[in-house]
Amino acid sequence: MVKARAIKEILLLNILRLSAIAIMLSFFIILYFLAVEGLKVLSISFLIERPRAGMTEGGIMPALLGTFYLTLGAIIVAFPLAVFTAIYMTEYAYTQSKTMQAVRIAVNTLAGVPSVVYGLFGFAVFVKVFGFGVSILAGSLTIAILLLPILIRATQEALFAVPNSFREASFAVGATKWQTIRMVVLPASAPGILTGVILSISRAAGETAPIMFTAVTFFTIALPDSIFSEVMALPYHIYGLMTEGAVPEKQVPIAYGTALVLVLLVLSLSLTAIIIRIRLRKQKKW
Amino acid sequence: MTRATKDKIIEWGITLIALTSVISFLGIAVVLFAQGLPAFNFVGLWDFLTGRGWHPTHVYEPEFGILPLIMGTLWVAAGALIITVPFGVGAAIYISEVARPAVKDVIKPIIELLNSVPSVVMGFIGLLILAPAVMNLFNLPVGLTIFTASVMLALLYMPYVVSIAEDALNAIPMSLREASYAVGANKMETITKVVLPAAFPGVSTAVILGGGQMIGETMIVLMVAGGAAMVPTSFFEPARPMTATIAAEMGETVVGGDHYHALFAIGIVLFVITLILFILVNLIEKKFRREKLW
Amino acid sequence: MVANSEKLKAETKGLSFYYGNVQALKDIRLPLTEKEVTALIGPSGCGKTTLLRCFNRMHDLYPHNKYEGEITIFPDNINIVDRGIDPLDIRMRIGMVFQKPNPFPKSIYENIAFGLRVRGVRKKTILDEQIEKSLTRAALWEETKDRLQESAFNLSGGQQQRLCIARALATGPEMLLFDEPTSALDPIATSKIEDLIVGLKEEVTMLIVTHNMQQAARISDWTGFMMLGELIEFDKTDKIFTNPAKKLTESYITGRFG
Ligand SMILES: Nc1ncnc2c1ncn2[C@@H]1O[C@H](COP(=O)(O)OP(=O)(O)O)[C@@H](O)[C@H]1O
Ligand SMILES: [Mg+2]
Repeated sequence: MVKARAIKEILLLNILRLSAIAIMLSFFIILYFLAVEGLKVLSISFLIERPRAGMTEGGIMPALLGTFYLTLGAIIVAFPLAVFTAIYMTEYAYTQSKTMQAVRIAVNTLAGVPSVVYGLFGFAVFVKVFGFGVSILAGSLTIAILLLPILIRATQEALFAVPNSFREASFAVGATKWQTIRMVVLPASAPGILTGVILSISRAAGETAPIMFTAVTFFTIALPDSIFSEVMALPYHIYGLMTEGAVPEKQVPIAYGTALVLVLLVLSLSLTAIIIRIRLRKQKKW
Repeated sequence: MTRATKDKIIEWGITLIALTSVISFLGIAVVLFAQGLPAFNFVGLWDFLTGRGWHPTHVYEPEFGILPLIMGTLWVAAGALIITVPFGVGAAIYISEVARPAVKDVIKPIIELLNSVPSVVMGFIGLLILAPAVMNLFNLPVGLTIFTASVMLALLYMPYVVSIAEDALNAIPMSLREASYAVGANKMETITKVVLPAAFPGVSTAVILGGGQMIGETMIVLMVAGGAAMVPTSFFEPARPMTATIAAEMGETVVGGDHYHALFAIGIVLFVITLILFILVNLIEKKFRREKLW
Repeated sequence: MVANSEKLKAETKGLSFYYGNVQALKDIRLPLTEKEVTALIGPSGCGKTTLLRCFNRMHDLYPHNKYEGEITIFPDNINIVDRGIDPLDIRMRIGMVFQKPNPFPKSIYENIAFGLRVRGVRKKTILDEQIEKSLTRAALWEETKDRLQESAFNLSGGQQQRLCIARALATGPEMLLFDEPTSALDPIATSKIEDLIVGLKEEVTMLIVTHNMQQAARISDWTGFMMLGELIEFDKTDKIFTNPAKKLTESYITGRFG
């Protein structure tokens, strides 16, 4: 009887352990395939050359550049909006106020809206109504809205982590609310906010659906020369290589290379964020 | 200007900025409805939702029934949940209840890194690695099936479900576990009889939110679900979920045409599903917060 | 019972306070004599902190709090808790030291400079001068003069609390509020802070909440005994501890409850 109980326990604990291991294993399998196939084409020239021969040769420089512009644009727009919204939600608003509730509902719902729906919105509004056309600008704005709820939540978390005693100490020497936020709360939460920003950059760089009809083209010889240019982008390039063109045996290796580059980019960003956060926890004295 | 006035002005400014989210949210709703509602001029709402034929570009008799697309979405998401729930919740329990801190410090970052793999890369791996394997393993004519999409979706959202479920488990106070050990329960009994029931609302929130994300995911289903607009009858058939339909067809429609409006109408359906899940999660939280005894 | 002959710095009259619907202070009348220490004692939860935080309008930071009655500050006869008075103006004049040392996550220098910067002081010479002066008054200058740029978190608990006192002194307050300033400290650090408070009597009026009756007896000139949101008795400290007028006060100071 007692024995059966112990055996059952060991069994269950091992099943739990196995599920954790299975998840990690699948991650490494994915990395393995990407690395093995991707490294075959990865080289400096792959990174700095333009595609040739109808996407069957050459490098991915325009896609790298396009992803850089789109991500940069999205962060530039989303960052200030998100930080101030988070400041509003944690520092100013009373939970019961109508505005606060509207903001909270909006943020939480936006977080669940499918990325392709953001794409529809971006197309109808930025591409068509505002007349930006399929462009870096339209794509960046679309991604920016998608990033808003993610960045707002990350910033809120960082602000919540600042102990209230800091705020009270600041008010007690006569600081205004804004002075308290600017001089005490934001500096204390900066590393946490930074982590959120880095994670958002990594998220933005990998998004495909929102830019499909707002910013990208599968193939362009020209490099972007203004925010109204359409661009190539790493995630869409992978998709395009798999679904367009007529020479799959030449396109698949390029797609592997592109996927490896994208994943390395995104993972190194996330890793940076994770390391900052771990450091932060260790240093924290309050 | 006094410091107090200046402070008030800043507060107004910040409140105004905070309204961007509300405006975006309303903007999305307005745009979807403005562009999607015209679809119901040429197809009734009921026929739209329950019609079995999706042939939007047919020259003589276009059909706009999205039942196959809705069912495609549901099958793929259900398949993914069937995989994610046991593995994800199991891993979350392992991390929060079983693993030593040192092990935890390794597992958590790895799972978080998995979270940052872009969906297009998951679709790509599914297409090149999993699909051929599925085809051979199950002796199918093609490997692009609901099952294939479900597996890749499950992988993509595993970290999401693990982390929310883990939060729910961490929120259970230590005293509850101690009470269980104190009456002689072992770890397994404490987990299954005390911790899991107490964490049930949080864990089910994790599952619902994960399901919502799966319904909305686009690239994986676009690349590996097979794309056939038929009501599925098994996991080993191809499907054309709603998101994949929008992504695949949006580029080829005439702006302002019937097909264009129909795609936005699908957007409305997705949006409404998002709202319903949001309300559901809130109801669960409200109900259990009131009952919470600690 | 009220100090008539002495010069008053502030006085509460009919002061009541509500957390939402819950009344936490009832009709408090408390005079504070200029440049002397007044202590508030009483069992946990009796409203000492609540009363203290009325003096710098700390309660305004949170919604649904309500003051009734008045706290008049002299010589200008302003009612601190009047809705028309900006809490900022009050906090510019009345400093506060908290129960747990709460330095900012900044350097020692910046911690003390904070109040001055908030007031728009930019000049380095003025800042340097004020920082040395405040640290000296807080008996911390010798220990910190060579490490002003170090993080305040490198200081010990007692040093951190003296830093917080220096921070409050830097802006030249007329009054200082202390909320159990030594409850998180060891006896040696506690006695340093007590000496410091006694020394500060030359310059500022102080109101100190304490859980520790010996402390009140050691450092205060006046003592108020509170219970359940009411000020039961107020008098010279000697009188309260040797010959209290109220039975309740006597039971409390002789340790029969609390
Ligand atoms: N923020 C608050 N909201 C509601 N009630 C409070 C709050 N802070 C304190 N109280 C209540 O007010 C009473 C007085 O508290 P406090 O002033 O902190 O007591 P003391 O400092 O004497 O221990 C207590 O009954 C306490 O529960
Ligand atoms: Mg107190």
